Amino acid sequence: MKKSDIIKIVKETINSEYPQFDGFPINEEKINMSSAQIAKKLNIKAGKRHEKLYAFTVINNNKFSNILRLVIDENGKFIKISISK
Amino acid sequence: MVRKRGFAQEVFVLYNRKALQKRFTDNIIERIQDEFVLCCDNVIFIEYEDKKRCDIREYIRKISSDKTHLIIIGNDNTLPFEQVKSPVSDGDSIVHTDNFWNCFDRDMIIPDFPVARIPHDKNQTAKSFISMLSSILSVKHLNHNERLGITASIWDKAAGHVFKTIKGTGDILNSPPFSVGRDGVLAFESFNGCIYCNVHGSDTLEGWYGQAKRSETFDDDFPLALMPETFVSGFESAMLISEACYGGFIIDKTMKKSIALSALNGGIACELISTSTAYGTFFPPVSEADLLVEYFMKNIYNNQSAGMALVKAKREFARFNIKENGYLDNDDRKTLLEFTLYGNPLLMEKK
Repeated sequence: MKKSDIIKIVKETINSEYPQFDGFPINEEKINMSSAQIAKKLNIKAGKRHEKLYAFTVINNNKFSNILRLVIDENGKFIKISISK
Repeated sequence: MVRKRGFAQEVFVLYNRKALQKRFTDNIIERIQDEFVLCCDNVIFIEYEDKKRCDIREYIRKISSDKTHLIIIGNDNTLPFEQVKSPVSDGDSIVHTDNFWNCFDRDMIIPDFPVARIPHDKNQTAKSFISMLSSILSVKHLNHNERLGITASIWDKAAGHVFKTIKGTGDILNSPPFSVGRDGVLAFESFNGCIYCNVHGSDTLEGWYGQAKRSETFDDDFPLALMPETFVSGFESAMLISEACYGGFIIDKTMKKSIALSALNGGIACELISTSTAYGTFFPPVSEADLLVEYFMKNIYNNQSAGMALVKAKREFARFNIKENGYLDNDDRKTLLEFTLYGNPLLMEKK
């Protein structure tokens, strides 16, 4: 899926599910995926990595500057949607 | 250094002699030591100096064992938090953490042994601090007769999921409608158990706040749910768990401006709390702060001290996310950095 299609899905999801964030800038963030050292320390084998992931942050300037964070894979499937406390 | 053998736990107490003497009185160190010797079986006192920060860390790493619980005495001006660049671009430039002392991986997120901090407030007297320290150390066991939850209504599903893991009788209140402004100050009386808060917080406001759901209509969408006065007294054996952003941000704060400090002085023995912006989901399956608290409680009920419960919770949290996704994302890393213990890390569930 093209990145423009991914961003379109993110915008549509915000519009329908999280309208309080609609209209605020959507900022892309680089994901730091180097967990090899941690996996070794925990004596585990890392699971299968997603080929490509995108992370987006949207800040809504209400009383607590709610921050919505969305992680989505290259097929347009959301891996995680979380919000600041 | 003489190490006693045969004890289930060994307590390392880390403090800055000069800074505490300047902040309180000349005999403050002796008074602190007396409290630890009275309450703990096997104590090693370690003196901190800013210039030797890294050397002291390495020393602690070398002498620590699987029985070690490190307790830091003081606030940021007497024994500073480590400042780490926030892994998330969310407006926090840095995260204040005590992981420096017990996490030796490059990212400083996987703990090797428990660490907790017993902080003083900006204006606290020596008498008041020693009294608080004595009260915190004297509570050995967490009873689970009671429980209380407070959640912002928008997160009631995720909070309800976490609350189910906490033992005791008691309900979780949604805010709104609950508000200390509307319903008056919550009053505790001989409370034995766990208080769980899934609410908003900030580095500048003293209270913790609720938030209405989109479908709800209230006079105030962000009501004041809890304030420092809520926790001034009424606890026998109690733990406070808060997922509020900046719930544990205590730098340059007084008890009147910080629930974390007010609660410790009011009789809460131990707090699991965040020093910066914390994250969670709206609904289960839970992640970030909610997931870490869930692991923490499971370990508390699995016969672990509060300190060891957090060590195990952080390791299980990292293990789960790495296995599930193949990596730890930026908010997972931040969760591991910012959640910290204040109070008594030796506290264990009463069987």
